[in-house]
Amino acid sequence: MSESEDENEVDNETGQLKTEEEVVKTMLSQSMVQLKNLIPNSPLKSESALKVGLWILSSHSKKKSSTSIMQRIRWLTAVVQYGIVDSLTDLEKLFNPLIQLIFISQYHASICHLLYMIATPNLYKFQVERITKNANIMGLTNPLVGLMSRLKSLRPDLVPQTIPHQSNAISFPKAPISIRNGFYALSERIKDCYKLPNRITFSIEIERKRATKKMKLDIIPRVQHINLKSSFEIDFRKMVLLSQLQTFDDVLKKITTVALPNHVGSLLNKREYHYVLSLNFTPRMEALLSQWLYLTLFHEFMEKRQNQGREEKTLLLNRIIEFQESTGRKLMVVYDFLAEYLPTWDGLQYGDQIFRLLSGIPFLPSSDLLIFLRILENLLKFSPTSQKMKIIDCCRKLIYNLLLQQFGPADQAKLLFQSSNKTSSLEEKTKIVEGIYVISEIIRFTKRLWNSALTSSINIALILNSLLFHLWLMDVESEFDLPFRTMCQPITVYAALFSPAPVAVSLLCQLLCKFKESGLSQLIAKTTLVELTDFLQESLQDASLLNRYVADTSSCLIYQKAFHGNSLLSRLPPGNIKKLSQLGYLKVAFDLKKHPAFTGIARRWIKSKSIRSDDDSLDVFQEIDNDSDGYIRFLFCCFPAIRDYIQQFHRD
Amino acid sequence: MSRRKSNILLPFNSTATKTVNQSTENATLLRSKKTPSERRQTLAEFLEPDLDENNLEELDNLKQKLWNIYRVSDLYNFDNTKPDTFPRYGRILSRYLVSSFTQAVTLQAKFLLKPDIQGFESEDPPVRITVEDVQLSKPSLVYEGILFSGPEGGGSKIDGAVHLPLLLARGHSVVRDKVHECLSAVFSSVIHEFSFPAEEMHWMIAAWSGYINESKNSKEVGFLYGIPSRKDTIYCQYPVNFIKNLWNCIHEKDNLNVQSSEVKRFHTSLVIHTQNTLGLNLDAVPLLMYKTPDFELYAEGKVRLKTPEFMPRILHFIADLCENRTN
Repeated sequence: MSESEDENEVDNETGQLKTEEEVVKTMLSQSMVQLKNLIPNSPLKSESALKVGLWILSSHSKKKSSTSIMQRIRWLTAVVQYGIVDSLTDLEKLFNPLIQLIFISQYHASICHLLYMIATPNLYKFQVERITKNANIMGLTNPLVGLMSRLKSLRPDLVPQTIPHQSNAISFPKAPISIRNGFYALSERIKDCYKLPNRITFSIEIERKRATKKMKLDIIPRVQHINLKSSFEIDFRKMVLLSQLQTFDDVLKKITTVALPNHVGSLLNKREYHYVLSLNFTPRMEALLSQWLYLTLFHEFMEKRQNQGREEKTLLLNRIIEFQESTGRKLMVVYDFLAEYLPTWDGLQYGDQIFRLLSGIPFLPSSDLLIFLRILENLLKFSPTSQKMKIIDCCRKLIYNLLLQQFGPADQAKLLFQSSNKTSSLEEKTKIVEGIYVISEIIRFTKRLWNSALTSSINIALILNSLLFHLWLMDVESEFDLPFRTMCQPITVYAALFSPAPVAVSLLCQLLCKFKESGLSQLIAKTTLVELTDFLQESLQDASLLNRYVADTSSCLIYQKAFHGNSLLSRLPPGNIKKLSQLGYLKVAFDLKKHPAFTGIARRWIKSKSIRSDDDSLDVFQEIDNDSDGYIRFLFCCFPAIRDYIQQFHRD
Repeated sequence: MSRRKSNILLPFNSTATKTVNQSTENATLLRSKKTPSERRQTLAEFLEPDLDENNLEELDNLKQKLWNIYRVSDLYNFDNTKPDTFPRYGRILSRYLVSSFTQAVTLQAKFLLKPDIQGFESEDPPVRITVEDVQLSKPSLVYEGILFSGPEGGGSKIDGAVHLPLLLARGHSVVRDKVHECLSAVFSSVIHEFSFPAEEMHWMIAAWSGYINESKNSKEVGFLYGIPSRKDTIYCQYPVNFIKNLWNCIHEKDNLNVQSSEVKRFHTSLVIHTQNTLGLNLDAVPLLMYKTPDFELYAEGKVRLKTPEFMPRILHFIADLCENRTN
């Protein structure tokens, strides 16, 4: 079919696509066909392509119309060119018989193109000689140059002659215009379908997506199986390659027998392969992975420009995190790299990934852990509030991860501490004492960070997060039955007490109650290893702070005696106290009824009373004085933690 | 030559690593002792390498070619004890290259064991890799690379792996990248371009100043400096004898130990001299290239070797630099 005929058919291109069976049936049953109607709606099976190929060969021998044969040849060539056929294995068998068609000038170009695409290195000398013979008869045509180049690249030993370089566009004709767009659309659709995850069974995710044109994809090598042994030494039938396994279920079934790819780093490529790597984590594998990982990280983050390859670096860090989190194995080499990289880190680039890595640091002596933590402390000094909270949250996660790593889940840890008094071996005792020491050091360090953060910023979010952190910490210490409880520092207590946020005051009350319930009372009743009694004693001494906090909180909120003589607040510089005293109403200013934090609550209370009159002035305090019991009841409803506090510490 | 730069010790360095198997189920931790990164070398010993006359042919092969320097991690499953496996490696590389390029190309790769020219006496001798385009009647070399061994005892290699930390390669960058990609993929390795830190450039320039000689065509050494954010460069030439004399004023001639203070003094003197004579402060611009009648060094990680006497010395030093990072 000529190009002009093709042009006429372009307009009729849009129509309903046929199924594979219909297309093949039309191809095999009819003589003349319209190519535009032969675009299948789905990829072709290899067998269908083979059927068409066989039809071409048999029709030629039966001397059928050359135009109809030509149509099939061009259609089949386009099918292979656009990747519509699922496999070329069947078509490859037709390589030899198709060679005879290159002698017919009408088919010559298309058949050369088809042979170019289905050629494999398993060529025979006689096949090449036959093609060369054609070159001698017809001359070295452009399609033959293209085909011979391919054969020479596959088997240089069989094609000794010089073949000029030539692009495919020059060598071979384009696909018929009537089917070109349709095939292109179908091939794009096939690619998209291939990317969709299998909905029935958990499918292995696509390796990586190229986010930008410049994004290099080779930071993590591809999974490749390149056989280094002689083919006589290997039984390929028994070999299960990782890349052949399509779903996670398949990987699970073959996980012990699957052949590993050549590059150990390629196993980091997909989350599903992490389990294969973990199962084969021999010292040799670990050493190989460590060396590759260290050099890659060093090159990408420290030798290359910082702003180069951002996506790929993020991808690598994410894969490392996923591997560590999904398998529970720690890649120490990553922390060796971080120890070098962090001093030059700006605290922002790859922040999410680096904080996640730091919160998952393996259990190390506190001096080693502090190498990383001091870098965070330096960053904290110059960071905005949101960054400060990220840094401290990283430490919070680290505390929890270290507890899990060293003592296991909370139930297990509880049993460990309870039985440690009686039956523990020296080794177990050492482990417990070392673990408690390191974790207490990290907690102390995190407290220092809170102190530093609250000193440098009066942001309410910091105060609230500090209170929540200490509440969380008290729960965790109690849950794991640790031999110490961590009291929060004065800066948190007093920042909350005089905060304009009612939630802060409420959380403070909750925290003080929790100190008493889960902290002090449990500590007093606790017996522990002799080696850990120091921790216990120190915590009990710290608990005396609780009395001070409670006294000051009650003085402010209930007794209208803020800044009285015994208060920690009285340690403010005398000049400041004197100035504050001159204000007159200082002592009563933080009473529940007057506290600035509850002004909004008081207004809501007044609104809720719905007794509004003309003289319903804006004097909130007067309204509260008129019905103080009603207001307090309303306040307790809004903040039950304050009521609990009063019940806990002022039962009378 | 023994020249160790402190580094954080890695798990794959068995000489310095203490393995702690945690009792928790999956946690296998490789503990390593941290070394402060700010510690720097203060002394290096520059030995005079023996030049084996049998290797002159090998050295000639390296001569006058501009080599790109690459750092290579251990090559796993690379069996260099059986050279009969080399043709297979060649076929694998050839096929990998053919399938990597969209254009039909005919490339033939070869692996060949070479004698040790660095004087390391390593158990892993150098390996030469060549890729030829055999499409034309006369094959043309499109890639040449030589994997060199590291200093003996410089670091432990992974069991079952070959330790050749330095790769000198030349050829078209596309082919180079593909060859290195193939080597990395097949032998579970990683190959990265290596560039000289400014500090190392200073060490090499100073320590070899005493050995450089004038040639018939060249009697100067040249320093090429770049101007940041501009394409302009500054090229300063000094007579060979001036540089030699300057170094000999600072460093005792027969002493093979070079101290960092001497290196610093040498460069400071040169900078002050240039500032006084030309008014240029070369301390403020990065050094891009150093050229002598015997060799050329490029900070971006290239080297051109001109005289055989310098080859073992330079290869030894560069291999040591690469070694430091791979171990």
